[in-house]
Amino acid sequence: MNFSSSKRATLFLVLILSGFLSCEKDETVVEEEVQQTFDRKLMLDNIYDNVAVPAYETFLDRAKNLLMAAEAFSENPNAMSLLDVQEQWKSAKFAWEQVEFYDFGEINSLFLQNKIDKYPFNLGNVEDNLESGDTLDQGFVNNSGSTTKGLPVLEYLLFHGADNTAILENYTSGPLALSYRNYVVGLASDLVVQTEQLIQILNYGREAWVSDIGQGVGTSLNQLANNQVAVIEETIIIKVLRTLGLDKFATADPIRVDTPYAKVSYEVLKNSLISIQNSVTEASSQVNLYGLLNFLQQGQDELLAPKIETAIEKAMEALDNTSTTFYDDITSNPSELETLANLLSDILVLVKVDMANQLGLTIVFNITDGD
Amino acid sequence: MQKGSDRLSKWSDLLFQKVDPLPLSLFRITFGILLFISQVRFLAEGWVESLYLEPTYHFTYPGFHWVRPLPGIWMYSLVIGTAALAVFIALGLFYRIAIIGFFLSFTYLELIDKSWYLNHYYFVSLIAFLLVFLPANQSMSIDSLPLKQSDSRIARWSILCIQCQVATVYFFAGIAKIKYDWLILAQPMDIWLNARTHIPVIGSLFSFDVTPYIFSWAGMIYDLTIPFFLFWRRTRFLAFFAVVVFHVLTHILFNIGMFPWIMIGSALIFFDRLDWKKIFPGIQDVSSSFLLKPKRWIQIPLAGYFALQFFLPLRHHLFEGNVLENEKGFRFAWHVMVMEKNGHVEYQLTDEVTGKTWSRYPSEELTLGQEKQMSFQRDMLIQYGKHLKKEYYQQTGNECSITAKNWTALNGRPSKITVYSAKDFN
Repeated sequence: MNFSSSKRATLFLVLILSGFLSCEKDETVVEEEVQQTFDRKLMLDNIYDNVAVPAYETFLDRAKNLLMAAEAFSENPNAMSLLDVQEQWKSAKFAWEQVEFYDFGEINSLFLQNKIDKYPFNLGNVEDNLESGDTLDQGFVNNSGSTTKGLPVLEYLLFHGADNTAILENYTSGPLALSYRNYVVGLASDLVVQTEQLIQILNYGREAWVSDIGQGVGTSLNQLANNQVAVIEETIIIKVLRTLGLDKFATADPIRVDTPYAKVSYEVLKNSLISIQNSVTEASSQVNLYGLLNFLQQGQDELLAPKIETAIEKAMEALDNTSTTFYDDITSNPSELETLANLLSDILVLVKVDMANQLGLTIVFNITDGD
Repeated sequence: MQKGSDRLSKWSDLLFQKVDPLPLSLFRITFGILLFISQVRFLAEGWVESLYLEPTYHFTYPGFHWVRPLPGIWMYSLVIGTAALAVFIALGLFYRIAIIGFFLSFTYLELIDKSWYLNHYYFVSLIAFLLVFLPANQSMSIDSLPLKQSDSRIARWSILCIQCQVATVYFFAGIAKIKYDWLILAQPMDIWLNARTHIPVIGSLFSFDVTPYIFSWAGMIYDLTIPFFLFWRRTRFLAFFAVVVFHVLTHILFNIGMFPWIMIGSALIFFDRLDWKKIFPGIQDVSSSFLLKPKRWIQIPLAGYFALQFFLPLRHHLFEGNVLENEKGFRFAWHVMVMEKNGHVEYQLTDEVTGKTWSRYPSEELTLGQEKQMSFQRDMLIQYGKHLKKEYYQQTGNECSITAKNWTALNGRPSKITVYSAKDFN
């Protein structure tokens, strides 16, 4: 047979193409079982529209409720209105834990989340503000630094004191009662203003975020994974180990706990875990991070998604079984907290090591600049 | 015996044949331009700040612990200066000073921190080192303008050693791919291609089971054979076409910065005047002849240099275990894109005086990039542990013992834990 070069090239191409077609994942027999593609754009759409935006909106609603309660409390400070504003603060704080993750685009680059929850706050400056005689309204708060506003400062104002009677005195008969009342309203009002801005920025950046389906540094999936890792790692290092005195120079110090005055750190942690769960399981469809992992691991025995789910469930279970507060456990039951840190560490490894490896995520520049 | 000696002498004579400097001159120009772009890109991306100035700790190389970043403005000046030197190299102006300065400054920049080791940066340093000794400004340079020289020809070895250096990169990158993961599991290609099914036109092909195998095997065969096809005149143009296709594809798929362009530019060293005449028939011929007084001693350092270039990529065979796991002998060995690896480290420190024990996470001090790299590279993990010990001693006057738990996931496998004992950090 005497083929010309062009015929040989054509035959070669036909063979290559038929090779591709014949190797299509086990052909029609298992077509229903094997997924050929995964719509990453749809996954990012889902995470943005069904998880991130609703999380911010929920927080905005809670912040507005907090503002209303703060105004009511400021006008008529009594035991009932104090309890109400305290409950609204907790509710807002829990909602915030589910927002923290979605630190996208300009929200991240301009450190805008710090205006809501910068941990820890600057106690000295807050006390200076109270004593300054300035009008502590939203305008004042808006111009203040991140360490003298947001949820942590509100927590201090609303919860610090031997009991609620003592706290109430700060707002009624204390020498700085007016400043306290104004500051609480100013801070709550600023939370609403800042959150509205965050949502505006979030909506503005939507198209860029959901369209960024690449693998490189700063791409959406990378950002999400990095944020997950950062939140879990920060929780372990700062909120658990450092509090327990399990870092360089510290001894156990309950005041370092995430919510030292409201004493709801377990609940806060639980909401953080719910947030991780939501970001990967996005409930309205299978086109989520779990779906992507399952797609990538088709045919493998050991699937990662259920492992992450189990690890989160275990940590949640441990949180459900706590009988006292995190604050009290630091001194009375530190081993329980160490167990909790280990459970969080298990999640961290699965997300930071196993998930990142499966997704082929690039976290740093030098991978993208060669190898 | 006599025959063998004659053959060797013939090869030796060939090295000292006077040849047209065109390939080396074109290579010098391309190298200068690409490295200028690379340094400008470095500045534009803000890497001077994030890589040199921001980190408070640097992973220095053994024997180079004295290499430290300069204070802010000097670091910027150095990178700008390196970019300027690259321009001088391209122009062939004050060439010898420029290439020596470039080699020193570029290599200094790379020696500051192990965590941003890149094969192509290493390649650039090697090429710059070789160029220090080569007459790459003999033609097509400002330096050569006033000479009005009758004979600008250079010894063949000057071109051959750059060709061999380029060939070494490809060949050993191919050898590094002859691994179970790469060829039998098609990893990490499977992970990478599956993550890129969204790429227009070609992306849909990546979801086929066979595609990662085609890419893996083709990549290995390409790396092993391309230098020979570039050396061979009959296949040179086709091989260069393959070089362009291969590296453009890697650029599209993996967004690996300057690497593809540097390798495409480097392949030009294989093209001599005869080849260029096929494209530009007007080019004048330059004849070859033998040098009258060949400096034959040059063969000794050249042989030593290339012996080292052959040894380094293979040295990992001297160590036990899988080089992809333990990374012993991984650097300076052209292990180019052979694995997807992620890790996490937790250190446990115990004050030997007070008995107090606490945990330490590298992310508390290191940048994201440093932490990512050290979390799966054993030598960096140990280096950082020793740093923590030393730092604690300096701060408290107390000795501490240190252990570490290290989780790593390689090429899609579930993560494995390695425990480092106190003696690993002694």
